[in-house]
Amino acid sequence: MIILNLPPRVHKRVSEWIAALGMIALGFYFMLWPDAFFRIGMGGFADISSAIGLPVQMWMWASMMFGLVRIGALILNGHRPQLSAPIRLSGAVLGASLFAGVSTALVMSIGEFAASVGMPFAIVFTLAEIYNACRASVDTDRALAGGRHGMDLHSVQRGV
Amino acid sequence: MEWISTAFNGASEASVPVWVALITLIGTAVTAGSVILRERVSKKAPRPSAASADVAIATLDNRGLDALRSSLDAANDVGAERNIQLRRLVEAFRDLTGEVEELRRELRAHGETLRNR
Repeated sequence: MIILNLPPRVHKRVSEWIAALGMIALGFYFMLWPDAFFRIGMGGFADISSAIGLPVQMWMWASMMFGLVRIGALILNGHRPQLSAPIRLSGAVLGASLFAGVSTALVMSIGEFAASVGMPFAIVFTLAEIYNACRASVDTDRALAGGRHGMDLHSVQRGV
Repeated sequence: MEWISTAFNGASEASVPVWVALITLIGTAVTAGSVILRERVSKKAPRPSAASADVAIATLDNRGLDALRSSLDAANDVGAERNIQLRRLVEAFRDLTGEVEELRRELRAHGETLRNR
């Protein structure tokens, strides 16, 4: 019995889709609970934003924006690989960094608070993003190599 | 969690996640770069790739088939069974191309006959 039938382009890159949705969800989390930045371990991010003269909400906007851009790149992926693959790669690298920071902040808050249930998820997301970056890097190289040699595989397949 | 701060050379607790994020950023970028390099090195050995097969199938002409044939000849690291299967595929396409050409010639000849009438 098929409960959920995902199109092939989704299930091949399901970890990228989940990570991108995770970035958007993290943005919503920061929007709803801005106090999260002042919890133990997260203060460093607030310090960075104040040092460059931007409000702490910049992290919220950055997380949501990169998540949305990645979703756009994943939807666009098969049609414009030269554009979407580098976006996917940079999104995965930034996502790995973001989730690693959040994981560390959650690990550091142990003692002050009970261990957060989100901690294992953040660690798994970090590892998934490292995998996503490796996968997207191969796609980026292939897409750009195709562009350099003036060959678009999709147009070749269509016989154009 | 003082040990984490100590591990980061006495950095303040607030800045440790930022340092971890920065290190992960650089580490992931380096890993992705090394994956690209590995991919490029492995590409140097010519072998039949999905791309060359797609080109041959899409164009269905002798040039595409010859390109696939030569890449098959150059392949050393492909299993014999798979290599034989690919060769059969190439031959099948060559036969098909020949048949299409023959049909085209017959149609042209038939058209000429009809026009002459």
